[in-house]
Amino acid sequence: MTGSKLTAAMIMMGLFLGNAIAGSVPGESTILTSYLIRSFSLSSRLPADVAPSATRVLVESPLPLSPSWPGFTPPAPQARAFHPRPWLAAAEVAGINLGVWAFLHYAGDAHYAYISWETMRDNFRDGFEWDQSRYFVNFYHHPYHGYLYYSAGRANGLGYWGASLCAFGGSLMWETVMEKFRPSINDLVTTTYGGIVYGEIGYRFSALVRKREARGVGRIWREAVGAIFDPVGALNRLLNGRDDSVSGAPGRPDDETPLHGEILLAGPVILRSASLEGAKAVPLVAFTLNYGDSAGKGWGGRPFDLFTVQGRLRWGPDRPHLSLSIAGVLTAKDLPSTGGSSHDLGVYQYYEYYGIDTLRLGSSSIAGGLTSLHVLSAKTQLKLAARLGWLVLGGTDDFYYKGPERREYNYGTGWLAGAEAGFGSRRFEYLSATWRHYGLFTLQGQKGSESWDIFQGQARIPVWRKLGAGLQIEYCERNIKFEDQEPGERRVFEIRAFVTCQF
Amino acid sequence: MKSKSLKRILTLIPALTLAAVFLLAPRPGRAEDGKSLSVGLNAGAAFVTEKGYGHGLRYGGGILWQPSPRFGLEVLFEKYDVPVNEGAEGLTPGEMRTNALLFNCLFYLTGRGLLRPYAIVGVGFYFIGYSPDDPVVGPPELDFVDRMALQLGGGLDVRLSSRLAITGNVRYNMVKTWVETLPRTDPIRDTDPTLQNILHLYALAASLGLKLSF
Repeated sequence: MTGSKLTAAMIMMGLFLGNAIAGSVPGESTILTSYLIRSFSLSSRLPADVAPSATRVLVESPLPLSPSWPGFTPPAPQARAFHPRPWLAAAEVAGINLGVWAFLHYAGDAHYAYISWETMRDNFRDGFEWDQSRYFVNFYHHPYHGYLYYSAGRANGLGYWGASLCAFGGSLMWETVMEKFRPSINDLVTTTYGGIVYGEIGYRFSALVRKREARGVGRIWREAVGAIFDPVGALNRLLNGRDDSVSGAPGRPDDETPLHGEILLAGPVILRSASLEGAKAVPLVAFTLNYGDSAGKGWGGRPFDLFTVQGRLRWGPDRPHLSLSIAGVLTAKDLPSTGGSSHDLGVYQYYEYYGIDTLRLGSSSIAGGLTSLHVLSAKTQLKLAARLGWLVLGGTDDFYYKGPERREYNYGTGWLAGAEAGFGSRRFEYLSATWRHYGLFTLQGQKGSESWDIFQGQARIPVWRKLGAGLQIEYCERNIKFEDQEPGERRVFEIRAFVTCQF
Repeated sequence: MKSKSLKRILTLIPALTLAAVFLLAPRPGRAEDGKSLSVGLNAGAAFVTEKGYGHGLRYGGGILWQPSPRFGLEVLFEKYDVPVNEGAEGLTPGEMRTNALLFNCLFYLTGRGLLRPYAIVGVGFYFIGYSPDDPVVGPPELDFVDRMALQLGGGLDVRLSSRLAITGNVRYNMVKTWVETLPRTDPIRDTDPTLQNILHLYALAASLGLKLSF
């Protein structure tokens, strides 16, 4: 059995444990029965001599109920609603942790999975520390782990905040008792914060993929793709039976929320800084997904009713560089506007990691800002956005580090500023630009501060229908002021040609 | 000849008695009655599968909480001692003494009835000691490192009355650990397990006991 299969099996085992509990929660599996009994209990409406038997017949009868006694008006059917199951969510979170631990210990023989009462006692006694794990582990793997916890909460009917608590609780449990190492403060932050963001967008995308009226093969592939986005939710649906007619049922198909975006394939490099090496035909795939209406219209009152995901995979001279930026609206307020334009004041949750060549930055941030959509003419729009906020925890490469330990990056906190602009006509975006500024004060690593400026701009022209072509410019600048080092900076830029498909 | 027949009869008596108890058990004893808390005591044998280790008596007791008819959470203490024989890696003949605190999930296949089979999945904290037959005076002293381990198994509850049940189960306790030299100078987390000679002290623990519900 391969590792991934075994992991999946272990996770499924953990989830199964939780679901076995769920199946036995009193009342959970009898919503329909109790509804029928409640809705059609006639004992109080019928003569005493017929009431008991009539009630029994109605409750037990598999036939459609159509009482026709004079003066009897059946009560209007009550909409069935899904009741959140927080205890089951907690059990699934614990099950995920035990499943992952069992895999790591028995199949992977991971040294950190040798735990005991002593390691747990020592962890509580010694408290939190900054861990030494590699960048990719801390900024990609850990959020994925948190994503499973969060999904367990969502799959059991909890909302954003309840599921966030699952992500935090699962991470806290893992850090304190499921590894022999001391609990890591940075892991707790990135697992929780990244897990919330990954989990919520996965949950939303899975609902978009599923379709209520889909049957047969169509239903199978939709549920399968939904399972990729929301594995824990999909397994819950499979084990508990999916009844999408129940109001608020987790993973219920979403037929209403719009999804727009772009897939971009870049090829030849037109121009770039001398320090960038490697093939000039840089394979680069990028995408942008805008969930919900961009400004003013799509806010439904729940976190992440609007979000944007931007991803990019760039094959550098040595290895692939993955960049990802996710920004979701936590709360928003529509401002008065005229002429079809809209203005939206919001608080945004960001989870990002950026990489080009040897420049890498990962961050968890929260920012406030304004998003405006100006309708210039009937078919022309200009979108502008500005952000300012707190970079809660970021990680950046430490080029000066020569120690024996594995961690070669600094942890810091600071601020985030940004601006975005986009110009489109006839549903085609011609111009777009994004600027981000990150300022970090080091918490762990090289003492000092640093700042990052990242600019990405695209100019496109439509070629045929939704297909287009254009040029992309990317600029990244990093300035460092570390106590033990000379101040320094590094700038890289690259101009690439690309083809695009907008939808 | 006589002694063989006597043995057969003596074997049959408990079996027939047990069968009679099952068959004549009062109806309430066979049905789910909503009791959610139980205490149990059990005894049996543990067989450690690692080369050089033997088998020995095991006994234990614990509390079971059933929030629902099909699911139970059990906290169990168990103890078993097995001989360490010639051929055991890194140790001279002696005895391995195990005390364990187990946290088990019990999944009942049926929510009610006289016979209630169940599956066990859980984790246990194992505190394992070693005493050689010929103790060495002074250091170095050898001991097993305590571990948390997964356990899997299954069992059967036979309900004799609404309060009393006979329970039998078989569990596989999957302890991975190593032998360390005492006294330990650093916290155990600073020892790299990948550099140790890992022992798979997997034990098959079979037990039979009584369970009293409240």
